[in-house]
Amino acid sequence: MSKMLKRPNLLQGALLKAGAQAKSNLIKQLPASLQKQQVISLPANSTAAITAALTAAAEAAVASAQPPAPPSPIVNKSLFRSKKGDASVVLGNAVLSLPVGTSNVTSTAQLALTHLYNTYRQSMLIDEIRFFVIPSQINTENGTGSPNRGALATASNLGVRFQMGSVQITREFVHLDALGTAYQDFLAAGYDGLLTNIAVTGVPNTTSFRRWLPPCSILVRPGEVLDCMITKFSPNLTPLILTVLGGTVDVHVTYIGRLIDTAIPEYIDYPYVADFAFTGLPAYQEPDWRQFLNPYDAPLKIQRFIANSYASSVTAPGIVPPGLDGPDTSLTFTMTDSLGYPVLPRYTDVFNFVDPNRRAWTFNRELGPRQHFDFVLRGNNTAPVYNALLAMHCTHTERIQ
Amino acid sequence: MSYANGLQQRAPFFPHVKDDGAPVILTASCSVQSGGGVTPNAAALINQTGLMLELHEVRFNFFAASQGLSGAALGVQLSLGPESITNGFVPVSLFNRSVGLFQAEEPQQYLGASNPTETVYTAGCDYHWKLDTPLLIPPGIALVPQFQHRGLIQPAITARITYCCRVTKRKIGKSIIMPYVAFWATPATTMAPFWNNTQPSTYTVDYSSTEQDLVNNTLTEVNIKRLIGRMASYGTGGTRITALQSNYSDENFTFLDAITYARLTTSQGHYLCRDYLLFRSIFSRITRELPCQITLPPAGYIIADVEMRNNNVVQNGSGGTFAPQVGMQMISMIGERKVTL
Repeated sequence: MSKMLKRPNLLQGALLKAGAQAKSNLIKQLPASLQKQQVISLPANSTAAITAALTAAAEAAVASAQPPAPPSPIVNKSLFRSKKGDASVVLGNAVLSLPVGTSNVTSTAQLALTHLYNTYRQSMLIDEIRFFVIPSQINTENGTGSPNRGALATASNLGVRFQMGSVQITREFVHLDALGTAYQDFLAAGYDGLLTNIAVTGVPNTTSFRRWLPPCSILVRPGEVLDCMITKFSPNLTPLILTVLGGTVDVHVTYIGRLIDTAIPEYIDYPYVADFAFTGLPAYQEPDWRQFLNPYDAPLKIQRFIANSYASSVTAPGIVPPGLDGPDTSLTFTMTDSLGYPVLPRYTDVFNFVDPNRRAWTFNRELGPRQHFDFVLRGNNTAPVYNALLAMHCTHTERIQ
Repeated sequence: MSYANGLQQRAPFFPHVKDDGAPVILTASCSVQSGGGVTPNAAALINQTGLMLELHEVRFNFFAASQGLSGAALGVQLSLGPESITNGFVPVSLFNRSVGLFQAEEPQQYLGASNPTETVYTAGCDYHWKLDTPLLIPPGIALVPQFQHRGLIQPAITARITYCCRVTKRKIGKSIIMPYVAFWATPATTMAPFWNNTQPSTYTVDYSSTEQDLVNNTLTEVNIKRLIGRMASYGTGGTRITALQSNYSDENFTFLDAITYARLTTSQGHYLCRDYLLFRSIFSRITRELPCQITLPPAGYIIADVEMRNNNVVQNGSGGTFAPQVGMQMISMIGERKVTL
């Protein structure tokens, strides 16, 4: 009702509509012969009844009225369909010398925004974001035994926070691993499996690469900037047994986008990512209910969930590849939404929750305002112990301010 | 319709449409001596069907008798009648983004039978180029290739080119879409100064392409679809890593990955990549691709600046047995243009 009062045009429209409905109902109650007449002369004492009917109908209409649905927002599919007038743009910058070490240290750095501003005269759509992690100091000697190799496992313990003006693209910091499906990013790349595997094959693994194709492109208007901060999480999702040379890494962030010359609509989609890292297993553990909460007034359109499991063993850290028995039996969880609907009523393991190859589950539903998902994770107290990462990718429609 | 769509998903190279004819594969091969150029038997590539051919995909296969190699070692120039498809010779690995299973490493390559677990590429290489829009080849005409041995290895290269086509009875409009590829590579750079303690941390090596490299050398607009960036390194030694280097591989080699930066500008003054960013980040380390939407007018060009920086290299003095001897960066642009018949 308060929303209606703030919008006089809407209220007026509802009253007119209710009045017309009441009149129509009244006419239906008249004899058929009178209904056919274009002009109806009503008895004098019917005025009060009409007024009462009009008022009641108007109140009912106002009470049941919903805010107007936003116009069709820009959706990802149409945005990706680049047109001739578009011009590609690549922006980027790096956080240099982010302390990582091998222990559970937390360090955070803000990416210098100078190079990330949209200084072009047109709006920009960011289609893809890439991350490249390398040790701040590199050695010409690579391969087994090199102290450089820590950058690989380090990337799994790094997080990023994106904010576009007042719109949060990520819920606080999310892990880099929470941003893309495995198929695109690391499993197919053959790089980010167990470090021991890599040591066996001798692949030089001193750098790590991630990329994120957001559920929808991110609009950056002229003079705006997609704010980016990098952090090293603590506790570690997976141990770092190999000291990064110098104890610091450089994190390069690159925005792949394009300039558009089309008119920007009043409402537009933004991506939203939330994640939770389960560490400290084996034990029951569940995220705070705010972790997978829809903080917006508009529904969240969920695109997919992403899940990964990580070895906690210092002798073989890293992302656990599918097919390993450990996570299948020792790490299970359930999932319900805030209305009690059991999305995942029985305990199941990570690789049954998501496609083991892609590490993602396309999940097409909406999460209403202030609604959330609950997860409960359970370990079975047997070694080896695994950690896990769950992430939720969504879009939501916001009015451009 | 749904049946056709389903077929299209399963067989993207030959999406079935009612009026389409049978597939046709044309192939020719030749041997190229180091530093030389050879045109394979063009008669084998002529469209002899009497109908218009749609070219959907070009495949390259090549090997050297006694040495492994990668796509950097072999260039190819393609022309259809008077129309050039490429701006000079383009390494065969730079026509397409990486689509191989092991995408982080050198894709589309055979595994050496002698040691398959270590991906020593002694058996040869496969690359393929799937065209964004099928190229129409008229009856009696051939898309003529000319191979170039780029001189990066000594042995001769045996090269084969294959066209995956389909005859079509569709009416041809007044204009057709033709692909266009241009390419630039930095000179082979001696990497020793980066690891032998002879240079300060401020030491850099810079290269820039010219107006004749990544250029639209046609008379029509070219709509650029993507840029491909690859690196090649060469080294000596007996380990797996150095074996890859000795093949001028595009392996993700940390040393080059970490020291190479690039930026891109168009001739219209558009900053495609405004600042120096990591080469492997601009061109995805997995796909080697920068999806791109740029329209270049005739004689329009892209200037690529490549810089190798010494600032974060630990001067260990020895260089180790893993240090690369030579490094090279290569960038290509792949687009399409409309040609009026």
